[in-house]
Amino acid sequence: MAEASSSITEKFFLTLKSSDGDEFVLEESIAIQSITIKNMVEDGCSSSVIPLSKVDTETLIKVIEYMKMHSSTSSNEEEIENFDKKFVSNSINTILNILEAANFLDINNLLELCAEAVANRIKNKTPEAVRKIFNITSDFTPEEEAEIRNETPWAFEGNLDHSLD
Amino acid sequence: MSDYIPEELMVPIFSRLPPKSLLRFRCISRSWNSLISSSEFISLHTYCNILQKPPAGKIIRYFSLTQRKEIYSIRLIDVLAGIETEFKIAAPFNGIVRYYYRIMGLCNGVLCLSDDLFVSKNLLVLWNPMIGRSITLPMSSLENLGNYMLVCGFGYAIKTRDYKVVRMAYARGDGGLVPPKVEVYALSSGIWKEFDGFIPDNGVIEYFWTQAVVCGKVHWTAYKITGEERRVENLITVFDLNDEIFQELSLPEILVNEPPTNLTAAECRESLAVYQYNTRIWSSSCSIWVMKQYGDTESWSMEYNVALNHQQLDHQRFGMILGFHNDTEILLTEISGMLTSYNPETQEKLHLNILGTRYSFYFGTYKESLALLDKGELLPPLYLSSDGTDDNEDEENNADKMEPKRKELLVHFLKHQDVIAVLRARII
Repeated sequence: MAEASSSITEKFFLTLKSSDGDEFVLEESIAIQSITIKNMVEDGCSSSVIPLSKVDTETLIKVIEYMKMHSSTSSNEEEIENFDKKFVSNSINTILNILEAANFLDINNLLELCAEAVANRIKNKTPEAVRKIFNITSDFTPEEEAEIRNETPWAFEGNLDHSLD
Repeated sequence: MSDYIPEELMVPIFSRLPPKSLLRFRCISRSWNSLISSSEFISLHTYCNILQKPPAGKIIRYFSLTQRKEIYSIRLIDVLAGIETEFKIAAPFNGIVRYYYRIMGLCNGVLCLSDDLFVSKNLLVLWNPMIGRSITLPMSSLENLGNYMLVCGFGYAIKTRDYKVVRMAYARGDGGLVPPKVEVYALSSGIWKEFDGFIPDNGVIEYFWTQAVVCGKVHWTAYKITGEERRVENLITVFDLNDEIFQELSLPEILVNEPPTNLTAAECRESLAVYQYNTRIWSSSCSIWVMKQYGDTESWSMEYNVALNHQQLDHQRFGMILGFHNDTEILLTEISGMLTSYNPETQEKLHLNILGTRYSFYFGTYKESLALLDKGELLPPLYLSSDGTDDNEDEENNADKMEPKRKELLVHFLKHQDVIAVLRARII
């Protein structure tokens, strides 16, 4: 494959390799929505396979889907909007994985989309549900936790959501 | 993929959550708590919250005649559940002020309170009632000046993501009008700084002043004394909280030569407004002027004229305009102290079953915020039970309950005489 070039008419392809070892071939113009990949291309790493050790296959497929839809040439606004809506209806764990990948790959729009989606999903949840989703064990003593709850009891009132997704 | 989400990735999620969720998630773990309670995050969150413009709640403060205490009633809107929740909260530092505080300003969930309405110890407090935390501002060098009167402003400077208080100290007594001494307090630094920029020599009617914050600037109605005949000309003094500079705005011509005591700065649906009463006490009408295009003094327009003496019965006369609580209705008080909603188009009115002393009412929009969670002092819980607190007009005759009302009227009357005397001394 050729060196990175500013030519628009010629198509260049990159190979991305997931942490599970699967390889995906993608047009360079689409892949460089990731600033991390763009920098690698500019540094001349594009001739070989780009290893993405922090992104598993399932997540990488989603990220590539997103980048294809959002590449400037192929999609109109309405299509993108509908795609994003459907995209954020993935399970919350999938979105968290994509969020991490978006952070590693430095795709700002995707990171914002995922952060917004996670916020919307958890904002009405109980602390217990959120702990399970994020796999957190409380390191507060029961007394300390009660103290925090008593500071703003109204924040714990209302019809809270116990579900894990 | 991983069981652990790094903190740097929690920040973009947390910055999109409402304060209620974040206050709840503080109890999830130590690291979540310290991230949510950190100054850096609170500052970022306040900033994001302003840009996102979530639906704002409302706050009404009054000194309840039936309960003989100052009450802050806050209504928050829960968009998810589609409901409004009301919280009744008592004033902080129980017993420090006689009757009630002056609410100098309200900005992003933080109230700036001063104790100068009755007997003053120069107490200035920033208070976030929904998280029960407060900061008492340090004493300032202006307090040693002797015979001075203070006018203050409070708001949020979005450039530096900081809350600021500005105070202007006016010399009392004879000898014309001199520019005030000015100090600015920033929450981030925690100290007063002497203002050394240009200070216009405008007077602001002391004690009865109100501030209006629009576009990151504090506005007070003010007056200049001009010409050989030493005429009073009204205008608006502006302090830009971001750039820390004073500016001026002119008023519509018809307001320029009004007695300055009749004008009050206000906010009307996020625009700058001025209430024009025909007298300070016992007014029979009020015109509401709105600057429709901020900064364009040609855009002043009289939007409403409210007849305050529409009723023959004296106690049903309207007293003070508090503001617009929706697109069509004005909140105001009756002379009796009854809070009333009034539609100036249809002239329909509705008693809201809240009875307080006449001048104690304050109304504003309230946005929950995490402000002061990092540095504020945690106050004991101040929530009041919402049961059986409805104020009832029948109890008004109880002599004991009339005392705050009489005291308030007396103080207002004396201060009014005082302000008129100061004004005269400055003109002559």
